[in-house]
Amino acid sequence: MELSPHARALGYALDVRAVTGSTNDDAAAALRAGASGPLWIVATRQEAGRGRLGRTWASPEGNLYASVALVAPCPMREAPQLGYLAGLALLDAVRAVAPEGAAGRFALKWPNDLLLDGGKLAGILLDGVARADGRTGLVMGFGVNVVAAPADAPYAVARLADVAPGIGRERLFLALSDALAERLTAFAGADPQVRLARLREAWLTQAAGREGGARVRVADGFKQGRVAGLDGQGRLLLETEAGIETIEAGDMTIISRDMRERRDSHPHEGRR
Amino acid sequence: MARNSPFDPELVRELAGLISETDLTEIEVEKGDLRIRVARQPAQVVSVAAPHHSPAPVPAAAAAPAPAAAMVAPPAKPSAREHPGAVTSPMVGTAYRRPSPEAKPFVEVGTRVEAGQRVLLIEAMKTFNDIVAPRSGTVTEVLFEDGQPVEFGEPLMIIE
Repeated sequence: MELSPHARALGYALDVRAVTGSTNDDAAAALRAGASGPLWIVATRQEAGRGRLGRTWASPEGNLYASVALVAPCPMREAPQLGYLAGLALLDAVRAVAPEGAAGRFALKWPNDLLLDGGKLAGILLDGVARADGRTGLVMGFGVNVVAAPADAPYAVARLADVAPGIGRERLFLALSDALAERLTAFAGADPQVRLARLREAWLTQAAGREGGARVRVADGFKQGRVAGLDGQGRLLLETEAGIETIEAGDMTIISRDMRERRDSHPHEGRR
Repeated sequence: MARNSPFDPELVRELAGLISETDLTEIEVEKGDLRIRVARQPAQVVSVAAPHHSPAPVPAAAAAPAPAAAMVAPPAKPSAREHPGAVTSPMVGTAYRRPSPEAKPFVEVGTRVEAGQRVLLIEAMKTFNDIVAPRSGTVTEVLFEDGQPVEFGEPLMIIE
């Protein structure tokens, strides 16, 4: 497991662990303890890998579990939108290792998943960490199904091996560490007035659900429509029959024509 | 928001019109150093904020509003927002009192906290942000329900 030379030159460090609870928790702990970052933590296996609030993230060996600890990449109120940067970096990475011509099989799903042929290939989870020195700490965690996808997931799943057999987690991590360093460096050097808007535009061009539509489970039911854009806070704008709905949190299912009927009989389950 | 810039009532009116036409809850426009944000309270959000000076017999956050009684309450009182011990939201998102659905809340009314201690989380786009106590003291009010959408600057907790 190693960092790309570009990331190393930019001062990124790497901590590789055999087994850990959660790489996000480890990265957050490093930030709370005063790490000056940027630091990647990669584990072979996670015993308490997590998704949104308390959901577990299946973490067998062979898949990639990597979190990067960043110090003050942006003001705290902007932190949630860096999830879009994380998604774009991961997209860059899988495209870099996948065979030529496969780029169009990947897409990003709001807010923060990576899809391959419509199935969930990876999840991204961010933690904003308050530090004693007052600087914002941010953890970006990536869980990528490289060789194995959960068999019992209540949604379609995918593995990197489905498109790029023989590409291991080491090779993917090398590409991810490179792409993330590249994206973050560009973000840091961009005009603060427009960099978030540019990020949202770039993300939107890669978003699933712009044509076929999407269904989002929200606190009080489902909303269905077309992914129309992101607002200034990064919230989803869903064009429904009732008009444009602004959605801040929810689980999204992408609807493709051939999937529509199947999905209707299997509403996505989630705890929140 | 429009500090140091000429106030533009026409623009605000135009944005307000746009908000009701599009069903958006918020629009923010930036031009040079002028920034105007027009927002409205979504109808389903029920504020449970109690005026902090009233001697509430039960903690406000413990009282779940009955659906029949649900109505649009006025936004949290300015008194809570301006309270020197108010913990306000640094972003738009969903506020949580506990690290995961099964876990215990970070704090309860009456909990003694140190400055810098984590007192709640705000989720926005799958980013979970620590919100810490700005100062040491005792939590005297919790002004939000677990899982409630919150706005920028909204008071969430009082620490005295």
